[in-house]
Amino acid sequence: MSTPAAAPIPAFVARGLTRTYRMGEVEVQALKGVDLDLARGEFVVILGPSGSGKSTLLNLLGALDVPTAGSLRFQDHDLTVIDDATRTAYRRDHVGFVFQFYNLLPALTAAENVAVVADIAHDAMEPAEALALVGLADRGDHFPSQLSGGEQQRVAVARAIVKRPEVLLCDEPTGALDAKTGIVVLEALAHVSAELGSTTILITHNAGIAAMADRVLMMSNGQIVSAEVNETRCNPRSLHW
Amino acid sequence: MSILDRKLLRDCLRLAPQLAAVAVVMACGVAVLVMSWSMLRSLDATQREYAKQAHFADLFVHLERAPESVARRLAALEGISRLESRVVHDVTLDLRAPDGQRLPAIGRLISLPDSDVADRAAQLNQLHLLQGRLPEPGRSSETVVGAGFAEAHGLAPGDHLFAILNGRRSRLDLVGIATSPEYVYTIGPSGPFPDDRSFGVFWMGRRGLAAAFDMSDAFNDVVAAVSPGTSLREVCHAVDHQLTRYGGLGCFGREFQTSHRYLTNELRELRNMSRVAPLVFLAVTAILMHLVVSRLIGTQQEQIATLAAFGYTPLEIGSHYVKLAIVVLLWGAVMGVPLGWWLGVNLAQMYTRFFRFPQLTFHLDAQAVGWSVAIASAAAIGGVAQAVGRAVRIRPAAAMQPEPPAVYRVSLVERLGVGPLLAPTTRMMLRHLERRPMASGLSILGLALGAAVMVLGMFVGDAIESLAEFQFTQVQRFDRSVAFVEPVGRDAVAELARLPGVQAVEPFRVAAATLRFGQRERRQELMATAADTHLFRILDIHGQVHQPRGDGLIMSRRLAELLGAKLGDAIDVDLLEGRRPRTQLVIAGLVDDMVGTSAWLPGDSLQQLLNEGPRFSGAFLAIEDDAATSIDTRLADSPRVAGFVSRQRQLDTFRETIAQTLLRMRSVNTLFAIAIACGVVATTARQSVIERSRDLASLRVLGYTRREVAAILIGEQALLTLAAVPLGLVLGLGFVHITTWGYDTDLFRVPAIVLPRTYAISAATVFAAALVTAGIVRRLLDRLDLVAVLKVRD
Repeated sequence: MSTPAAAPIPAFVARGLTRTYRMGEVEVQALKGVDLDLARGEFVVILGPSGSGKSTLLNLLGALDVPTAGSLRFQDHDLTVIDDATRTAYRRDHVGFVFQFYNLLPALTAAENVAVVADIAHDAMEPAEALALVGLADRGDHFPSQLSGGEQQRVAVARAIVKRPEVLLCDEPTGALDAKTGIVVLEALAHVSAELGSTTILITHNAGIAAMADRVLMMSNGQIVSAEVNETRCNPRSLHW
Repeated sequence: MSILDRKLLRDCLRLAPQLAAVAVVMACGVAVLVMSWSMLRSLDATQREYAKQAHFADLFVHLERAPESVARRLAALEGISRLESRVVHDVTLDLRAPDGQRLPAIGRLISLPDSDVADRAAQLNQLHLLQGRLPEPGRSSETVVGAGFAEAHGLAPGDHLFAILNGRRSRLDLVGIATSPEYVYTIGPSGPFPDDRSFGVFWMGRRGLAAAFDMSDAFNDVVAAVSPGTSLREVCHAVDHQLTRYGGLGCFGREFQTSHRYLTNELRELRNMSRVAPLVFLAVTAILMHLVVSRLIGTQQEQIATLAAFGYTPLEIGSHYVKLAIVVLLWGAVMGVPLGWWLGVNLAQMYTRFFRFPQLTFHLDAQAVGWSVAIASAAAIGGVAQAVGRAVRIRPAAAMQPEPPAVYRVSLVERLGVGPLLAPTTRMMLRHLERRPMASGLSILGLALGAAVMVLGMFVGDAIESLAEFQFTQVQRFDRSVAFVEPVGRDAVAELARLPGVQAVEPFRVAAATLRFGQRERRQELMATAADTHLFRILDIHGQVHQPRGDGLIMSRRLAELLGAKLGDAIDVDLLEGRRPRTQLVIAGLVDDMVGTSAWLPGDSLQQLLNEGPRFSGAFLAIEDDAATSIDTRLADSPRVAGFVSRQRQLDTFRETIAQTLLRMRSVNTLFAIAIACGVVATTARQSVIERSRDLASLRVLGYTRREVAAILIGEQALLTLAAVPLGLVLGLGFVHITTWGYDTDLFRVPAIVLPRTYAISAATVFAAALVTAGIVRRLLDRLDLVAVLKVRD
């Protein structure tokens, strides 16, 4: 008798996830009843054109926003009805964010930008260690204004992973970068997500990035229209766009 | 409406809270300017108009007694256009409280000319009847009472009261209530503050009053008008020359007439007030305008570059932002002018308690409004000038380039070695404040000015406290001050000492004199007391007690300044009593006192000069509390006593009148200070929220709680406030010094002493304003839209 393959441990479970915005007189349905299961440690790339609902989905997964209808759970946390303080605690304890425009604090050096998160986390690594993971061990004392765009984004990655997050949410992390620099950032992301076993969700317009994922979800008009599993994940170095 | 104006309108709506804060501060400045300038002009015009209408005399002189023929001679002197002789006497009023207790009060009885109706129009110092009528000729008891005394005692025509006239208790039948240009501000012989309860002016028919004082066909007071272009000094010398043998006490012009002097002094104080406070408000306005507009231009660089790229000229772009300042200006003026008008109307109402004009109406002065708005415009436009200059220099190409991250560096505090001890958020605060030294410095200055205005406002209370404490407990320590009808000998003093309940009696001698040094001269009463007086001390504000010794003269420093003399100088002294001896006395001591001008010399020196034995004009008494009623009755009934005052009553009146008025003005100042502090803190805090929303939203997304994020901004505000408060207190002391220069007159001198309480309350108010604003910051941050902020490129 063969033993069945161990079932993946679920990280996120969403059912009928809906988000409606009211813009003046008009109601816009940004998400229309999305069902989604994400496993722990999974690296998922969500592709889709502008307005397809991918940013809304990411915001809900990061508890920056609450759904209008449907259910969304992260492990044993219900992300649909929680209050602001609990959502803040959820982000603080479980989630690392990487933004399109880096969102570094210009008043802090690279190391301090990382420390800003390490300071409020339970089991954080040393900021220097996080910077080393993204290849910036020697740039800790530099202010954002003294770093290139790629370096700033890698600092942002180091800041996201310093607390060893269970979830890593990346919103167009290469959107403001050229291809060469973008690949360096993606390498850093792939490396740390594998190292830490974080569930990583990366949203992008850029289909060229899809090959580095375990799974690729395609969104359109507020719904997931296709899901593909990559048999093998490509090394980011082999990507091009 | 042009497209740019539409943009302006939307920017205004978006920035409404900050612009409102600036407009409120500006409104305060405009209001104080409008109020003080309009009041100044109203009061000045009223004073001039009243003097003209009522034929206010130009020249005044009091004497012992002269036959009426002398008055005719005086009237014929060159330069005198009209002269009236009068009988004027201070008497004890027989007033009783409802419980029957005798109230110490002095009445000044002034004769009205018994002339025919045709001549009345030309009379000097004409009464303006508020109620009733003038006394009928021949009815000797008919009396017109001054408005202040009538109001203080609830008197009306038809009422009567009793006074001791030349030792006889006489009935005064009140037939009218009036104001006189001579007593617009009524100060009794015991001065230096108005006290309508214990001093009143009464006008009676000449014949009756003269008869009561054995002055038929004689007079003891003269008022006169001089022809235009005449030298008052020369006329006065001629009058003095004529009156020397009749005990003339020295002729003086309007300039030295008590009521006129106080009024002029008040005008000077108003002028002074219209200088400091509005400038502070308008400086704060300029600072806030700068902070708001420079930040707005900072965030709209791309838009400005785009407009420039589309072909908008620098003038169009510049005037677009200047219009923002004009919007605030209009807003400030629309609030400030009515506020100033309202404050003015209230101030005029307060003035009517002290200044008895027939009518004192506050007129909003168009010129004052014009100037206030012009000065406010300069502040608003001056505030935005630098930022607008920056806007017009932005090149179109800037629109095409992304803005690089803001450049920061390690802060000074960290470089001092404490860096590793500080949390990253604390470092953020310090570096942010240090990165924009101009903005931080201006915020600190703005807040400091709030604290300074508070100190200045509260100082009024301190000044009252110091003045009351100094004058009524340090200098004057008597329970009663008694003035005799004419100088008395030791027996009369001994009689006072024998009254049951009198603990101590310290007699004094007062003699009128003219002091002369070089070309300057001044009429001054010389006061002589025994060597070791306790009930009245010659004290300076530094706490030093002076004792007149030998034949040296001790005088108020102010008096020496007026004479242009200094310590050790010999002053010519012409005594105006007895044989009117002339001598020279050396200034042996200068006293920094607070009220009036005084000159003292030892009792025996004055006796020698006057060539008289021990004679006394009055006495200070210390009495037992429970004997007060019987002593007051005895004093009031004594034919030798012209009048007496109770120190406690003087103090009470001072507190109830002047103090209350000044305190009301203080509360207005306090409100203004709070407006400034809140305006500055609210503007800078709101600016910070807008400026830092992206950083703060990032922190929130990274897991920082609302409280932790708010702590960063509130911490920054706290650092600014901590830096501002000490600076504000020092600035406040500076303003106090500037203001006290204005109060440095020969009537009052207020030392620039600020009580610790004032510093504490001023600091606490600014901290409280900061605290309230912290609450606002917290609310603004709670509303921060995390998702929206993160999507925007910095």
